[in-house]
Formats: sequence, structure tokens, C-alpha cells
Amino acid sequence: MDDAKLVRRCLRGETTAFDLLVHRYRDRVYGLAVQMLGDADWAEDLAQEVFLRAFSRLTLFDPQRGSFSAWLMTMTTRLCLNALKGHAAQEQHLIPLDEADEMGETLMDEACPNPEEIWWERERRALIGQLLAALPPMQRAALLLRYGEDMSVQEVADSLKVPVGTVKAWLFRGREGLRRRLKEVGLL
Amino acid sequence: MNDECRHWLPLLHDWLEGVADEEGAALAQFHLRYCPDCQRVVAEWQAVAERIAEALAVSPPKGFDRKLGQRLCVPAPRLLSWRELTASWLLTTGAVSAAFLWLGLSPLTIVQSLSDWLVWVGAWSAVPAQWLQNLWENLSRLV
Repeated sequence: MDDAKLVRRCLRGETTAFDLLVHRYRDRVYGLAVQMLGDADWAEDLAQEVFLRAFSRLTLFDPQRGSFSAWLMTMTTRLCLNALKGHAAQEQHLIPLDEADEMGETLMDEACPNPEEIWWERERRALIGQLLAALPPMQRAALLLRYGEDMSVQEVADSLKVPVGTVKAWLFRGREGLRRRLKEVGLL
Repeated sequence: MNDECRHWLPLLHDWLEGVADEEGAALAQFHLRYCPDCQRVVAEWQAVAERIAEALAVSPPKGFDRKLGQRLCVPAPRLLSWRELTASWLLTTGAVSAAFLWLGLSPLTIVQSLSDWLVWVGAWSAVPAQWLQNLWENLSRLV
């Protein structure tokens, strides 16, 4: 069943339809929040806030204007950006390795039986997290929405309310910077 | 990678993102066909995008659904159907009319009372203006 139908069912009073939407998007919302905020606990609180807000504003979702996924991810990104803005010092929240372990339950459960592979995968994720955390929040959001959520450049621009040219420049600089850094450390 | 190739990178990136214009896309493809360095860079860019997507594949901690379920224990927002709206309007209008009839008020007296009330409100709203005028005149005399 597609998302728009689930939203309609939810608006007719079937709360179980919203449970399905949560189940469908919780990993993506949480994953985006973790990479945006760089802190697992903060990301969990924010992901909950996203779903609560989405639930209370379901009547505002208009399927004619875009997908539910884009609506939810835009909401997540904006809440993350607001949270970062509100964070006085804007200090970088780097994900410690032990926390990254806890977060990566799915990774450990999946097909990575070799301990060395697991170690490399963990290192690579931690490094990507650190490199992303070092970027300015808006540029980080652009990279995550474009490559993580597979939004088009136009959708990213609409979501972040910036011109397409700005998004293009952020994506180029961000991706090129990450490419060089990953290459330097031999992870590419 | 030589300096000439570095100049190609922004255009190649636009092409890869699908935002290059027709001419730019043709130039990028032509350059890419003969430049192994740039082919490698484009492949690495694609790998970077994959790494970013992988970094997002994280499950929330255990208990996330339970916590959210507890916080979501409120009635779901819902749109009223036309039938519900009509029933609600009829019930409200009926109740108000019944209350007026019970008080012995006919529609005509209600309209008359309303106009009297409006005149009364209008009269009272003019009072502060009158007061201000009096105050101003008294002050002027004193000065």
C-alpha cells in the first residue's frame, strides 16, 4: 500500500496506518538525524519529534505537491537544522565508536561474518560520520538528502529553500572533499 | 590529474548530477570518453555517494517504537466528512433555535435586540472620544 493511501487511512481514524508509516520510515529518519546531529541520543529524540509532528500535521500533507517521503525528510532536515542552530556552541558532535556500534545493529546482523570486514566497515562509517560532521550543516543536509535520500537537486533546493546553483556548488565541493579525504586514508 | 582536467570537474559533476545543459553534457561525455583520470574521479564520486547512503542505514535503538507509541497516545487528527459537518451544523443550529424559543424569543425580537445591542456598543465606543475631547479642551483652557 502506498504512503498516500496510508495517510488517508490515518486521517479516517485508523491509527494503525500511522504505525505502518513509522515502521517504514523510522530507520531513514533516524539515520538522517544521526548524520545531521552526530549524536545518537539527540537523534533519537529528534526522530521521535519528527514523527509526533508529522502525526499532528498529517492534514497538511498534500500528495499533489510531493511524496510523503520527501515531506518527512524535509521535516527531519529542518528540525535538525533548527536544533543545530539552537545549539549554542555549535560544537561538533562526533559519534564515538562504541555508540556507532550500538547504532549499527543492522550492520552487525547482516552478512559481514569476517571480523576484519566488520572492523573496516565500522571505521569507514565512523570516518564518513566525522567528515560529514565537519561540513557546515546546510551543506551536510544537501549531501545527505541527495545521496542518502536520493532526492533530485531541485528537490533538495526546494527542501532547503536555497537556489539550485547553491545546491550544485555544495554537492560538488562536499563530494570532492570527501573523495579526497577517503582516498588519503585508503577507504576509497 | 593535470590542471586541465581540474577545470573539467565542475562540469563533469553537473553532468553526473543530471543538471548540465545539453551542450555541457555533450562536452562532459566527450572528455570523459578519452580521459582515464576523469573516468576514475567520476567512479570515485559514485563510490562516495554510495558511502553516504550506507552511513544513513542505521536502525534506531531498541525501545524507539515503544517510546513513540506512548507519546502518540492521542486521538489521530482527522478530516470531518461532509456528512459529519452537515450533522454538526444542523445540531448546533437546532440547539440554538430551541434555546431561543424556550426563552420566548421570536426571530423578529432577536433581530431587534441585535440592532439595539449594536447601537449600544456603538454609543459606548464613542464615549472615550468624547472624554478625550473634554480633556483636551480643559487642558487648553488651563494652558
